[in-house]
Amino acid sequence: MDAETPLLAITGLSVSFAGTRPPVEAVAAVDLNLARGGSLGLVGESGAGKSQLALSIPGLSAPGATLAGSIRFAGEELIGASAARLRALRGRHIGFIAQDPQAALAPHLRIGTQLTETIRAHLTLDAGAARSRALAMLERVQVPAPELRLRQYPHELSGGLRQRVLIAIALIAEPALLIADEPTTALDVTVEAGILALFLKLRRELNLTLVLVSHDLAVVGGLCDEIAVMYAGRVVESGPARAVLTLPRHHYTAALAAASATLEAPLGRPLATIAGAQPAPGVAFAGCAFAPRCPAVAARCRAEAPPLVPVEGGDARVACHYPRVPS
Amino acid sequence: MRRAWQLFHADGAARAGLVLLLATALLAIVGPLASPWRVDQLDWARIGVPPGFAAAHWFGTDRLGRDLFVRTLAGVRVSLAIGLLATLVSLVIGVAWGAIAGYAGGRLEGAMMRIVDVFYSLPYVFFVILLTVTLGRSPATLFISIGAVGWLTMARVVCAQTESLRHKEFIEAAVAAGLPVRRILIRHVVPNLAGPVLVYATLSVPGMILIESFLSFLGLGVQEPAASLGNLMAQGTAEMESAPWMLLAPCGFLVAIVLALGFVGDGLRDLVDPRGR
Repeated sequence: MDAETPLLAITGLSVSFAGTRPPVEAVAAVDLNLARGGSLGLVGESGAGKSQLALSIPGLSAPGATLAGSIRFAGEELIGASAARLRALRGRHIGFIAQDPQAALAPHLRIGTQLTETIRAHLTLDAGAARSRALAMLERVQVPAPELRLRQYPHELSGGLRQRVLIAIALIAEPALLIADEPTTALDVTVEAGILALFLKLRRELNLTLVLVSHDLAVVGGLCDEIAVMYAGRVVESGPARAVLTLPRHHYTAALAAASATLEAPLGRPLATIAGAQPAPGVAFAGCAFAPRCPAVAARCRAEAPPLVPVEGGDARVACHYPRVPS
Repeated sequence: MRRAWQLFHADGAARAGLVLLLATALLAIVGPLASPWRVDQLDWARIGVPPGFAAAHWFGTDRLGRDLFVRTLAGVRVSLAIGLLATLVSLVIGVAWGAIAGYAGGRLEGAMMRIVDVFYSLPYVFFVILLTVTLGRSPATLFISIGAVGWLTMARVVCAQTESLRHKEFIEAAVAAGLPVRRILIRHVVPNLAGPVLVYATLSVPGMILIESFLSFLGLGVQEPAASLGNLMAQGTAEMESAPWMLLAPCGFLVAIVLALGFVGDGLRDLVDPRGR
């Protein structure tokens, strides 16, 4: 594989659930590329399909999901790959961090066991070598007193420590790609800041490629080079994080940024919201999915779905007939 | 663990059940040593005598002059052993079957649980008679026939529990970490079934003992001269009017064991599922 091949190349991906009535297309026609060492933030409100997209990469979609299109990881096609192959990739080459650190650790197994079983599932190591790698990884994710932690059970750890342990489990086999699905949503703000700093450090030290799912633009902006904004299963805007955050071209991205709570906002004024809701899953509609909530809607928006195209005079791509003009 | 023991200890019925059960088991092991008689020894001088202290026939003797104290306790040993072993067998098969079905889900689960349904619908006594005829009357046949029904309910319980566990985040996290299915089942799923499974197993021991007694009563289970509570009761029933002690001794022990196990099982269930209180 040459250096030009992106580590992760997603083309025309759709994830649909045909078993439900009406059938639901959770992810539709998504194209994404992520170079080795790069980092991509997937943002959008709940139900936008960002988690479904993240889950589909290592083949973790719920049973009943139909995947179409292509997901290439290091040049290897993952859609249609055998269950055994996907299992071998998971944890070994693709690390995954689930949403809730409180629930994602097995309550009855010691931290040490959970770390070593993951590495020994993928690499041939004796118990001693596995243990020393577990210790080294706990130190790397800045867990204090790692020797003690190995013997402890999850309920003896704080939420922040548990999240660090989960990160350690995801990284212990040194995967090239780390997918984190809302890794800080369940944590306190102060703990969240520590975890985000840890992600930055790990990215630098391990040359990690990161896919970060979040509804928080600030989190994504601080961690990721690239951003893809999702709405109703589609990417509506993508590009370098700085460009997307400072000069959002899609009206949805702008509304999402405006809805973020900031300390600078004057007290007493209600937070900005986006009126209306996403189209109900499975309901067919013509045109742009955001049209009913869009401040700049025009007749064309309701008739014709906008493709994701490069914006004039910028690095980003936007799916909007009438993108915002930077002022 | 200590807290669990304290809770269990505070449950009067469960504590009494446990004490009664241990006392019975101890008596069944130690008691025969105190008696001068053996299980199959005949006392020609005292045939069918009522309980008393004469010649140490504390529970009396049966139609052949065998000491009923020793025979009843031997029957208790057999019944307890069969109850525990059959439960163990049903535990192993039922947990493995139910956990695999529940974890796999979909068609495999459907197929496996329909097999359970088919076994359920077989007329049990007919099935046992068929087995006895083809395999001969032996303790092994008894185990197989008791085990054949015992694991069915266990498999259903475990299957339902596993299905709900499967969607727990820590199981999904184990899948995301690329752990082999076998390891997820053995190290992540099964330990979390321990509570309900333990309770159900305890509650099923009396059922197993009753089945054994019932089969022995019908002459399909433990055979003479070996004693079990079932065949002792069968003999006792024949002499019910002239020698009621022959029926009362094994009956009393059976009731005591089944009650004690029931109390212990209820106590364990309350521990595992505090909502029942």
